[in-house]
Amino acid sequence: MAVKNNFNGYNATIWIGSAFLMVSSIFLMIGKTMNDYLSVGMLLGVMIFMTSFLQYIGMEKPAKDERIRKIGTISTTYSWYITLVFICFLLITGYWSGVPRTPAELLGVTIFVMLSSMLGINTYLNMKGDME
Amino acid sequence: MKTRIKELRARKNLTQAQLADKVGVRRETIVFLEKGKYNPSLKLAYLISLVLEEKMENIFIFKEEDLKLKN
Repeated sequence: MAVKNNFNGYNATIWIGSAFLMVSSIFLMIGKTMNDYLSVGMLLGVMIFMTSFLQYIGMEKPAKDERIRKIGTISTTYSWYITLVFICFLLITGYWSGVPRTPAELLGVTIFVMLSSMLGINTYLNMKGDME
Repeated sequence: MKTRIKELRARKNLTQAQLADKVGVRRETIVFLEKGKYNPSLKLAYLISLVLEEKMENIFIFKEEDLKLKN
């Protein structure tokens, strides 16, 4: 029987798309404003990201692997939760400290935290497994 | 949880990839199952028991404390 190639193209695509998005979001946080380069970077990133996201979290139809779906669901849920709490915390502390955040800065933080937490948790669960 | 998948798979001369193909998952899932690091769905456990021709309770072995009923 031929040995199957275990390389998953969607993994590479999701990391490349995320890299574009995360680098753009870092510049967005630093610069606090959008520009032409960032918009191209974000557009490229999100287009590459969109091609593989459903496969990455195992939500493609028909489903190919229940484990990928399970850890994908867990990682995206945690990512959503962490991002929500983090953004609320930033908004509140920004208001109380009298240094309000710009919308571009907040969007940059949102994109960065959402992506990094999802990729981090997914990679961790992929290595560790899901047993308590 | 411990599993006897590796032993039973060897008895049937199946590779991890072949077993994965038969039950419709990726090979990595079989690797995690054999290490006892993945809790499979009922459907996957049933399919594995069909392929390996063994009862589920003889494939997936839980520790006693994991199986205590509440009240």
